[in-house]
Amino acid sequence: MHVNFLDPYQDGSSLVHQADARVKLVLTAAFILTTALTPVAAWPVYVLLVALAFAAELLSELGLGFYLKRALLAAPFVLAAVPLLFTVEGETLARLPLGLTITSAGLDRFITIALKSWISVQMAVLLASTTSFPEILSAMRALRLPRLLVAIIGLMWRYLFVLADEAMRLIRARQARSGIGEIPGRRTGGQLAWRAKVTGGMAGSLFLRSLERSDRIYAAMLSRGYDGEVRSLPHPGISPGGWTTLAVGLVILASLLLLGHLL
Amino acid sequence: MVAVEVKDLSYTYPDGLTALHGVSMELCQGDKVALVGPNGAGKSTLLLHLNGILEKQHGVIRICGVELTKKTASRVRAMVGLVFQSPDDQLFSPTVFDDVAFGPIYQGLTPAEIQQRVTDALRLVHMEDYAKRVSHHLSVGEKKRIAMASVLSMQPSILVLDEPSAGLDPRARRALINLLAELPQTMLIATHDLPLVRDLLPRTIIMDGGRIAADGPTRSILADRALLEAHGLEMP
Amino acid sequence: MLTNHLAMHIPDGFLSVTVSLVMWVLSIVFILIALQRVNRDLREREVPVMGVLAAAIFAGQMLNFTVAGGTSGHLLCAALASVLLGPWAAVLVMTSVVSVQALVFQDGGLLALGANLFNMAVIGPFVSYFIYKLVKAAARGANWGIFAGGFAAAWFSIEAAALACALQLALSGTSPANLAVPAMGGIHALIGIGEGLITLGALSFVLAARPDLLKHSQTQAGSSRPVWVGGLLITAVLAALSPLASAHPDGLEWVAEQAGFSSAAEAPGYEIIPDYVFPGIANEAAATIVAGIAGALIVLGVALLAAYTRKRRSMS
Repeated sequence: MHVNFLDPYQDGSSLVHQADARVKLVLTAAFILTTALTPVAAWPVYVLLVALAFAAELLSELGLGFYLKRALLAAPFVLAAVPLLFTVEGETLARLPLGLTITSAGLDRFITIALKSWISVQMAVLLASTTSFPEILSAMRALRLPRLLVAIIGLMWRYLFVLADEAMRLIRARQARSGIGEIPGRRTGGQLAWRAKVTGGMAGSLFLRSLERSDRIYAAMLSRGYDGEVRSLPHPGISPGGWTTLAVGLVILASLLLLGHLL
Repeated sequence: MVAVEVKDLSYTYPDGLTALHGVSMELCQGDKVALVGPNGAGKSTLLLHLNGILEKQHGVIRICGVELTKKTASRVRAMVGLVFQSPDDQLFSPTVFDDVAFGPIYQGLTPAEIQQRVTDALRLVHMEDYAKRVSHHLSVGEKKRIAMASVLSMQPSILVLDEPSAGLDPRARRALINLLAELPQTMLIATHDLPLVRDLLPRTIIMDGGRIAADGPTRSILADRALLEAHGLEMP
Repeated sequence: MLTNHLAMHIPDGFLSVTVSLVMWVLSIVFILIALQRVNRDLREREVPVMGVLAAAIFAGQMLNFTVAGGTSGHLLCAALASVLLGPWAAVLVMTSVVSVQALVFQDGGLLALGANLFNMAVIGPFVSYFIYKLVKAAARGANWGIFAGGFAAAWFSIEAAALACALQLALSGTSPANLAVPAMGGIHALIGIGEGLITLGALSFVLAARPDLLKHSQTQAGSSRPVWVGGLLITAVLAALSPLASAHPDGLEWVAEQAGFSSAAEAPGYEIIPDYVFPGIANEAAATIVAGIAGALIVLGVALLAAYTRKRRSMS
């Protein structure tokens, strides 16, 4: 019973899967930046961005439905932007009780934010689903992220699932002892503070065991010659195809950006 | 009186693995039964169903006549004490007393009742003096017994244990076997330790590939070399 | 899988590009300093210790407890990391956790990652370290200092991160300051209690099992004056800015102008916050307090209602 389903990577052999992770990382960041820089209410550009996103998703052969489901993750946060409907000055669209009026400018702002968020999340999901974590890590290293940080993240990933399993077992062990007895009329479940304290004990236990496990890992690393220096194999260069993809992608995004500001 | 009734239980994990294929079995009050089989046979999956931690997808489970559903799960958990393989996952309070008191506190008992339950549970596992100790520092054998006490304090009528003797040195293992022999509860023990099965449990169920391969008296099952080897086991 | 989080990981689309980039720069600066300090103080042990602790924090955020009815509380763990490892190592550990949450699990945006890192991986550890040290100093070595300090550190770190998050949203023109700040502040004041209690529980376990880890704070990387001062500064700035923003969004705009944001606002598509108040509420401090109390009451009310309905159902 492993917490395997945590890993969002979906194995596949589509064009997107095979693309160089460094190219994918840069294009994803560029895409999200382009989306962020696109002005409010530049609807044609947003439509094109969505089309671009869908196209990339279709290329990944994982199905649009897969992405649409995952993209709903950020949806609740949209509540933070709701006040925009009422506060931005502009032509009134509707009047609501409590003296609130929805303006068209407010609606534009709100929808823009929702769109930006929805589109950005999809690209992030695309990246995570088509690129295995070791590839992402390797790309980060190639893009000159500090070696220590990359090493920490790498080890974290390795032990994430081990510890997630442990956390799951802690939760199950607590569940197994959370039974309601046959004695009627008792307030069960204990006090809130007690429950929080128990959960804290579980966290503390997890942390302590992790610290002690790290001692064993350190010993194992030492036994294999570790001296504090994080070394790794040199990276192969980006293939011509990779450079082409990168160039084409950046040009498309730049054009969309320009289009947005010309409108 | 039937303590545990499992009829046609099937379960598939979210990642697609079908762990149980129509498993059926019955335990009467006072039965002491071993559950053996290779890793991946579905033993743990079956155990996790018995107190409702895993929600059943297909089939019927009855504990002491109560059908196990989402609504009754909480009640059933007080009747079925499940002891997990790793004691570290079960001892998460600062002191032994706190861990053993968890079940009674959750059940809403009064402080006096809680104190009594803890004392009784610790006495059952022969660790009366350990109440103030820090669980983290105990030996594996001691931790296993405290983990058992933390379940016994709920006063369950059925005990389910997952690999109780794993990781124990011969002395601790012998102490554990003696302890289990003393306890009156109906027992289902998943284990690789066939000598323990031979010493302690009169009935054995063999599981393999998510199905029940055999269910009968321990003496005859453990004498059947072909049967054992067919399911990845060795004669003790 | 990782749903049910604290409302602090800002997704993409909600922060203006300017705010995002400024936050990125700030975060990178702090992370680089942290790398240097940890390298100097911990050397080879750093990778296994922090890697596994980061995994523990990640996994630890799965641990929940029922608050009432269907709601549950979770952990952020910045305070716990800070108390156990020291502030600089905690910065690196939280950076790892928050980055992977964004990159792999889409918990928080990628452009917004700079802001999320600043809130959870910089403000979190710094403020908790400062508060923890403060309370422990007041307790003069007694054990209650560790417990009270842990609770306070956790509460303040959550509250500070929430206020920073609200200010970032306000400066981006996404949420009105006099609503976002009290709302985020109010809700996380409650959430912070949960985090505080869990941290308390964790520390009592650690104190019982390995008191040495909590007593010898001098061996932790970077236990130093600069961090103390940094934590104090951040807390002070947030404490000053928040009521200011709530009561006088114009004042916030004035601050933004002085800090040079208005020149960036000349770029097309970016709008600075106008007279950005919620209609119907006069521009006063009273409105701030009312919104904050209302927010907290709503959360409490919903939780109690859920608990009540749950109880009714389970008794029948």
